[in-house]
Order: sequence, then C-alpha cells, then structure tokens
Amino acid sequence: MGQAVGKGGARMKPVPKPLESIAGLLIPPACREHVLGDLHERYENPRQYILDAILTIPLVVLSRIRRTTDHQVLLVESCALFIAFLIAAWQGDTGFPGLAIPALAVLAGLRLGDAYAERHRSPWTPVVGVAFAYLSQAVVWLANPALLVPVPIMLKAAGTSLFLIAIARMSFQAGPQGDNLRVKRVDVSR
Amino acid sequence: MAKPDSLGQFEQLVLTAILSLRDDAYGVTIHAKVEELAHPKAASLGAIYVTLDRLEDKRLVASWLSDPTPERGGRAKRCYRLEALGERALQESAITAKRIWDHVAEVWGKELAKEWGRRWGKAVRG
Repeated sequence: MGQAVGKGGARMKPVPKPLESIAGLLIPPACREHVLGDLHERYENPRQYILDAILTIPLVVLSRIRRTTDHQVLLVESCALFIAFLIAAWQGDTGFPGLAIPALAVLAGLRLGDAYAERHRSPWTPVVGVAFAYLSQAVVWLANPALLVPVPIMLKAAGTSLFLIAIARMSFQAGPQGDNLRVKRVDVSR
Repeated sequence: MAKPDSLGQFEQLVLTAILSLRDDAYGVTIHAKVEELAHPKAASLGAIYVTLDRLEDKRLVASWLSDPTPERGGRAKRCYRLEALGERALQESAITAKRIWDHVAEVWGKELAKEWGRRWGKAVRG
C-alpha cells in the first residue's frame, strides 16, 4: 500500500516525507518540481538521498542565481549600496572591512531572494537583503566584534539601501531577462 | 540563422545524450547517458542541471514539463529536446572531433588509431 510501481514493474521505495520536505524547502520554487521528482526517482535509501541532495541542490541554487541575475541591476544595486553605506558612515569611524561585510551580505541576500522568489523580482527581496545585513552583523559579533558596524550607522545604511534598491529594481522591472523568465514561468505551470 | 557558440566538452556530452535519448531526455536519463559517454569519469546530477540551464539560455535546447508520474512521487519531469541551433553546434563539434581524429591517425599511424578505437570502445561498453 502506498508504494508506487516503477517502469519495470518493480516496487519503488517511498522517500521519507521529512527528507523530501527539507529538500523541497532548499530547492528554488522554479526548479522544485522536476528536481524533487528526479531525486525521488533515484531514491535507494535515506543516506543515498541525502548525499544526492547535498551534491545536487547547491548547484541548482547557483544555476538559478546565475539565471535570475541581471548584470545591469547588479551594478546599479552595488552602486546604491556603496552610496547608502558611504552616507551612513560619513560621520562614523567604521573602517572599510566593517562596512563591506553588511554591504556584501545585502548583495548575497538579494541574489538568494531573487533565486527563491515565486515571481520575478519580488517586492520582498530588498527586505531579505537587509535582513542578511543584520544576520551578517550577528555573525561578526560572534566572530570578531571589532568589525561590528555601530547600530545607528547600520540603521541609516539599511534604510537608505532599502529605499535606493527598491527604486533601482522598480526602474529595471521590465528588462529583457525579466521577459525571458516570465516565459519560463508559463512553462512551469503547464 | 545565428551562429552557435563553440561548445565545451561537457556541453557536447549533454547534447549528445539528449540527441540519443530522443523523447525520453530528462534529468535522470540524461545523467545516466552522460555517465556512460564520459566513462570512466563521473558526472553529478547537479552539474547536468547547470549545463542544461546554460544550454537553454543559449537556445541550444528547449524544455517543457511532462505529466506527473507515480514513480516520481507524483511529480513532473522536465523534458529536453535539441533546437536547430543545438543540432548545428553539435554537428560542428562532431566534425571538429572527426578532423582531430583523422590527423591523429595520420601522424601516429592507422594501426595505433585502430588500437585506441578498440580500447575506447571496450571502455565505453564496460
């Protein structure tokens, strides 16, 4: 009962639900359906499934990041972040490495946010980026508190970058790559 | 028609796998075919997805979702087929490979080339 029959008539082992749910959460929605299906088809035992998922999912995410990254938008976002953090740090004495960490974290958050977005350039992605900046500060606080950016500077920089990035993304909403991704989304719903 | 970019070796393997699998080309079968073609080198399923995405962006292959099947836990397959540009790129790669092979055979001798051919054939079958 509850076991699927494979191509050759052989009884297929069911993948444990918790394992499949975790893998499903880690795979970007745009490729979730077929990647989970492929992992399911290759399933032999939980250990093999975990190993397969570990070797497959990071590459799927990287490929999704590559596909959803618009180089023009990336450049404009980098400039917006540079301006936001520069303005915020104007009166502070935070060094370059200290400021570079949250700025790079915002960029990483934006890329991941785009890769995992249900629809192209979700309005929530800049918020994910800023959340990554605060997450990076938590990691810095644990690893090397000397590089921590003061809270007022972080607040100013996060607010300014949220505003500038939102404007930049709205201006680039209808890019050629956006059209390309929208076509692919129609394919997925088929 | 646009001129296709030159292909990397892994891209050639993936395109050859799609060509030989015809209507049954999707992640798992493409991976199995690529491992067979690249023997004894191994290829990960993730590397296959990355290459398929890149080939799709270059418009060398096209993909669509099939109907869900029970052996996949009720999930659909993403099937692939070669586009005209992909067929042309693969053809050019095959012609180049043949030209290399002919020159190797000419310089190193036909007997040695035959011996290599036999050895590689065994490796692919084994």
